[in-house]
Formats: sequence, structure tokens, C-alpha cells
Amino acid sequence: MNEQTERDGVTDRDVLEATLRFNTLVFSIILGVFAGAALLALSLVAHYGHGMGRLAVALIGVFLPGYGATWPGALLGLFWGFVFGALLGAGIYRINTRNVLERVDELVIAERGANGFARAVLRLDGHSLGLAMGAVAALGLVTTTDMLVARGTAAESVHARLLSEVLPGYTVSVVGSIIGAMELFVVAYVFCRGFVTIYNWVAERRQRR
Amino acid sequence: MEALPADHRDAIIMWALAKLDVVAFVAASAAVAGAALLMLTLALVLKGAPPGVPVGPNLAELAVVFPGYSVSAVGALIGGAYASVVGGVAGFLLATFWNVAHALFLAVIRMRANLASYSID
Repeated sequence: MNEQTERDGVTDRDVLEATLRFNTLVFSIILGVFAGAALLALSLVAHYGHGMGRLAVALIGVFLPGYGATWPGALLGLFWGFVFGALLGAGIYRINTRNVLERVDELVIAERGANGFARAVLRLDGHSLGLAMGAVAALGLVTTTDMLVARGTAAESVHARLLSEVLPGYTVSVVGSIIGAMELFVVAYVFCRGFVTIYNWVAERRQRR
Repeated sequence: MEALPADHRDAIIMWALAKLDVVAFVAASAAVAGAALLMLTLALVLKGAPPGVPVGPNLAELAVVFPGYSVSAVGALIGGAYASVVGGVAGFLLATFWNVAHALFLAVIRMRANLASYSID
């Protein structure tokens, strides 16, 4: 499809970019709210739950200044969660939709909505979503591990080292973080492909009915 | 199912404002979350631990929030079921928020179009 197609001086690419900005904003806000609420809840559970969740809060607090098992710490967690969740959401959405213009016809299932208006149901692309989630997860692991290395606390990071139980070869070091990131990328990619396969299969069957 | 619009521009707008199928999203989220915890637990069980050392003591702490869960074959099934519920709820919320945001956006567009079509004359 020619992306330079113009109507009223506006190309398809312009229309796509405008819609992507809106959808990126929506997805960022949703993920930001989710992440912020999760950190707030975890902090409050650790505060009132007789030690439950304290370890996780302490670990996360290494990366998010001020986050802890107190009310001010929980509110800071809400803030940090929103910020990082929104940034991750924007990154995931943008990577996921980078080739959408060429494949837009494959990514919708049209249905007849109320009042006769056509309304589309979204189809997902497993490869793009897998790349997006895998890249973000891998980058996140490298960044957090290397932060521990840079702080000089790698040797004390007993809990970060636990990841080696599920990611063979991972260590709290620069090389270990790259090995772990590659493995995490593959795991995230495979799970995303599985997720999208199930979603598209169920969505198509429901629309066919 | 309806045929997709022949116009590429319309297809882009339709894609951008498309809703997520909530049932399909919940099913996929539940399946993936359940499978993740199931496989993680089974991996630790298969890996095992030296005699006298508990298997996966950190993951076993999930029993605090998932009663009945343990790092064992049966515990993997129980944990998988719990994780499916949590994943399904998260998927429902995400898909619903997405659809509500787009429905609101469409409502605003329709309202502005209706207002623009009125004339005081």
C-alpha cells in the first residue's frame, strides 16, 4: 500500500501518526495506573501485613528512590509506578505498531455495531508484540542489573541472583545481565506469541458467530 | 463479520479506534499467567534441591497470598489456577479500560460533529 496516498493534503502516514499518538497516550496511562496501583498496594500490604511483601518492597526500593513500606513511601511508589509504567507502555506500544501501516488490513475484524455503524475488533500481531515485550523486558533486566553493579552492591544482591534459577547463566554482572536478557527476551517472545494466538483465535471465533 | 473498508484511510482509522475483544483478552491473559506460574514451579521442582534443603523457598512464599500453593507438582496446578484468575482479572481491567477510553473518544467526536452540524440561523 502506498503510504504517500494523499487526500486533502494529508498522507496515510499522517493519519496513522495522529492515531498512534492517541493510542500511545491511552496505553501509557493504563499501564501507568496499573503499575502505580500495584506498587501502592504492595507497599501498603508490606506496611500492614506483618512482614508480608517487605522483601519485594525493599528490592524495588533500591531502584525507586523513597519507595518503602510506609505511607509516604507508598505514595512515592504510586508516582514512580505511574512514571515508569507510562514510559514502558509508550515503548511497548510504539515498538508493537512500528509496521502497522503495511499490515493494517490484517489487524482488524470488522463487525456491525449499534445503529448499523461498522466497529472493528482489534487483532494482535504476535511477532510485533513479542519483539516489543521481549525488548522492554530484556532492556529492563540489563538496566536494573547494571545499576546494582554500578552501585557496587552486586555481591550483596542475593535476591537478584535468584533469577539464575530460572535464567541459567544469569549473574549480577554486566556479562550475566546480557545472557539473562537474551534468555528473558526469548521467554517473553514465546509467551507473547502464545498470548496472541489464543486472543486472535477466540476473537475470530466469537466474531464469526 | 463485515467486509473491511476498501479505503486504506478508513482502515487505519478503524484499526486505531478498534476495541479489544474482552472475552478473548481475558482468556489469553488467564492462560498465559497460569502457564507461567505452572511452568516456573515445575521447573524448580524438576531442578530439585540437595537433601534437607527446601525447593524454591522464595517462590513458596506465594502461599501467603495463594493458600494451598507449594513448590510441588500439585502446588504447580493450584498456583497455575490462582495465577489464571489474577491474570484474567488484570486482562479484563486492561481491555475494559482500553475500550472505555476509545468509546469516550468516539462519543466526544460524535458530539462535536453533531454540534458542528447545528446552525443558530
